[in-house]
Amino acid sequence: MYVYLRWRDAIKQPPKVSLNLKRCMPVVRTYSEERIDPALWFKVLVLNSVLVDIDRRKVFWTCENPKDSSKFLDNNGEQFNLQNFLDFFNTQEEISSISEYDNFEYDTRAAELFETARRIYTHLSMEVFDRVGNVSTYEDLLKILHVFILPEVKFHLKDRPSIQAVYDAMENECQMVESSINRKINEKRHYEESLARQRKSLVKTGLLLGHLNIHSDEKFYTLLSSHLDKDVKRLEDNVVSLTDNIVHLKKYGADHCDYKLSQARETRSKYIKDKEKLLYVKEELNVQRIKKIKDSRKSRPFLGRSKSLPKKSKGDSTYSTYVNESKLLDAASDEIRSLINNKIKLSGMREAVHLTITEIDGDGVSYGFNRKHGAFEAEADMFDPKKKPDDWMTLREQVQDFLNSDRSETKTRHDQFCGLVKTKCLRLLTGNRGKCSKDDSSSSTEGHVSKLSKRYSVRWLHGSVPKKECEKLCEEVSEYILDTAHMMALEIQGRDSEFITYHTHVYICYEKHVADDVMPELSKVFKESFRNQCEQLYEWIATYSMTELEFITKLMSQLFPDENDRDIRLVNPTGSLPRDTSGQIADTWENGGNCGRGLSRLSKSLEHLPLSTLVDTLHEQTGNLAITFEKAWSVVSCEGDSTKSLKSLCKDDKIYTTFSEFFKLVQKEMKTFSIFDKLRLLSRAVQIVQSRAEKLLKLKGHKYDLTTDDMLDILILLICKLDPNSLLCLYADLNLILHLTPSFLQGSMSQYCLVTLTGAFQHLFERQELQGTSSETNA
Amino acid sequence: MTSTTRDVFIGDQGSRAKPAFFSTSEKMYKIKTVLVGDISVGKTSLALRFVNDKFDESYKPTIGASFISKIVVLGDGCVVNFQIWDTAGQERYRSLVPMYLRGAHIAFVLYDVTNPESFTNVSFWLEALQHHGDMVKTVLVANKCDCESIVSEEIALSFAESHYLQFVQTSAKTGENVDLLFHRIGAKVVEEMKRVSKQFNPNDRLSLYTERSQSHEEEVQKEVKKQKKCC
Repeated sequence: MYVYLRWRDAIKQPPKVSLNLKRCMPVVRTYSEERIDPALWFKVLVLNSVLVDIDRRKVFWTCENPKDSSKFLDNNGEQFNLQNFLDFFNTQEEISSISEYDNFEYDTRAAELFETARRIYTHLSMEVFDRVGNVSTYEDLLKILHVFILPEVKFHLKDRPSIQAVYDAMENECQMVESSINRKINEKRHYEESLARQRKSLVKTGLLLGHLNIHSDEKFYTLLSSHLDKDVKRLEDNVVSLTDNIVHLKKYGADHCDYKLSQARETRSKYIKDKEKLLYVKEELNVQRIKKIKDSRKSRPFLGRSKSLPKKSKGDSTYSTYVNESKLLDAASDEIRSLINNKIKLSGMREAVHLTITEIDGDGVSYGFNRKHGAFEAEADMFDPKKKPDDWMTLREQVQDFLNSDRSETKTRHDQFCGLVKTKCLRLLTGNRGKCSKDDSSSSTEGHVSKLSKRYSVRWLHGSVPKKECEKLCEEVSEYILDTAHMMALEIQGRDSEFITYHTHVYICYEKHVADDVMPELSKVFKESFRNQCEQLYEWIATYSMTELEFITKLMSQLFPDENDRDIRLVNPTGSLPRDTSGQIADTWENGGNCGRGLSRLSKSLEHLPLSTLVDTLHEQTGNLAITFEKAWSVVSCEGDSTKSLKSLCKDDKIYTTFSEFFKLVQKEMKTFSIFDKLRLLSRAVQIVQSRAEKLLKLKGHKYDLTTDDMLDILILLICKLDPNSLLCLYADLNLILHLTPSFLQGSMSQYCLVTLTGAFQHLFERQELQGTSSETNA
Repeated sequence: MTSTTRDVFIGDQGSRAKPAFFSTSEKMYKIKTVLVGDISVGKTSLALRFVNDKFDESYKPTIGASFISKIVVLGDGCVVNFQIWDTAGQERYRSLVPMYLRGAHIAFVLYDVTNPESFTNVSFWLEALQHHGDMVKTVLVANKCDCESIVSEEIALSFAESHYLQFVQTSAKTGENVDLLFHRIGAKVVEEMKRVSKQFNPNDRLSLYTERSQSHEEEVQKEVKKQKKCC
């Protein structure tokens, strides 16, 4: 597989990356890497090339051979043309997850990948990379492939033939390894038998006794001694096994077992005799050896005098044959071990290929390993992405490493802090339940709004948990993450010129761990704090938004110029049923479905639900289809013209279908814990709103880029369409994020989205307040 | 810079002490730039002109024309990422503008030379900036200079002088002075950032996350007072 690196509009090509199937390890020229699990490296055999575009921060891959294409050459067909090259890759597969994460500026993986790629690019000069031993650059290359690129390569149906070919090659290789193992086992058995024969002969003839030259035969002595030990051990095992058998036969055996019993006893006696003989020989050998050593010391008063060479013993040739065959036996054993290891790795790769084929046949796509919820999940021992050298750990893994040990100081501090925050949250939730705080100041009231009446500021501060307490908690959390990230960054990297960047990356990685622990409780606190405010807003939207938000009509006419489409109401159709003060779903049906004499405020909300939702909701309540129908009809007919109502309710869904992704992402955001994940999802939601709206406007003939004014208009419309719970959750979350967002995100796209979404809410609150004030004045 | 504290490890020097997987060897200055002014003065067009004038494939996430990010290499080789924030110009969203101004490094206050009211409203935008923006550079931008001007250039210049602002005439339509505006002001902001980073004490962790230290703010104020000349 070829790797191309693009940086500053130039392309460099490192040496070919391949997979050595015999040794099951990736190889770049002189460098091979055996410390990793090679299962996913089968992809190298399927892919033809990978382009790491550092300039555009994108990664492309292809199974096609770009060298076959003359497209890369200029019009004369002579020189390489960068644009043609890039055009080719633009039509190939892109690893979207990398660029998607990178778009949001706070995913450390993309930063690590492209920074390492840039380093490889810089070191790849002809002089340097041709030199043998350019270890670090080659290692970096394998590192980025193993950690970031290969796990993200997703195969499709069109790649199946290439994958099948690799599978067949793997099968062949497996069979070859299998036969090599069998061959080696036979070889080993042959040596073992030969050595056993030699030992038997030596023991029988007593050749070694008295003839052993302790100086020249030390190796032989050690070898023979260890082999005799093994023989003794084997005989002992046999004796134990036979004894068990004898006991069993004596206890449970019938009369006809007497013969078996006597045979077993006979064999055991033979083994015991053999064992004793071996022990005797071993002991004798030992005595001889000690005696020889003593004698040799006596004949050499001091070292260096004796120049005579040790005499050749009679058994020399026998000894050397024994030692040599023993060496061959060891070599055969080592080879078998190595072949078995290779076979295991090869099987892992073959299974990965098999899984890929199965998944492609079933789902049409495959990553080559079981991947659930965006996380690695190794199936059995097939692929373990964590199995890699320590210095290949990503920053995220290094931060995780701090918290892995239960005894580590960081882990203890982390647990203590999170426990403390949770306790504080619980205290706030239980201690302040039912109270309304009016003593704190809202951070979001700004500008001319602050000049409004006293009533305005008081209404905004409703909430059972004081906002000051919320802010204080957020400050504590931010400060703690900052401190811990600082400590971790120092420990991992040390303080150098890149410390600030490094610190922010560690912050991003560590925040996730804190968020997982404390965010559920913090969210509850914020929700309680904003509950009254949001409930009032929801009611206001349901009642007054059509008259007060005059710009919505214009916006609707732009987005949905079809006259019927404009009749869209600014209330949520997916809303859960309104609840009374005790939290129970309000009973608005006490008049038996007769809404003529003024529906209560809550039942009025139901009027605006789309028919399908209305029916579902009512059916959930009544459990009876007939009653459900009657009640639904009464709500619909209450509006006067039932046909029109039905029509408008159906049209209402247009906003949901057009911006369905926005609502999905908002729901998803509420379920995530990390601030950075929340920001990513909200940014995506705002981006989608912008692209959908622009597309819609283009379809209707308007061609312009949306400005912030436009974005605010549309977001206000969408917020109005949220159900009460989502409205509360989103607003509470926005405030939570605002207070927990680190300052290094200042100016980023996610910050822009956060501000714009908060601004849309603020505008609604302002209009609600202004309308309330003017009503009071008129009254 | 080689750190002297590199040998200080809290735990085992094993895996954690291995060299960082990545580092940011290529320093990039991120500059938050806000465009403020009445509706239809050309805020969006100015941003789009700057971004699209010379098409650059560099990495730039955008949200339509309301948030644009563009990476440019300045004359001295500094890599700058302009994070351009469009702000709402309509009357009904004026109270939201302060939210957009926080943490900005550059503010371009735009008016339309063919619309005197947009020039009159410049005072409102400047007031908002004074109260809520802590930016380093504020520039008064007279946009649509390709059209016949109704707002007198002398008056605008004098207004800019009296408010210690820099003044530039641009045309988003023809592209006149647009690149120059971003590059010159960007370069000045980078200079400021470099000066601040020289003053930065590596042992002071908290200052890492302080947008601009107080001493820096004071310096900036002093400099603004010195800059009575318009460009």
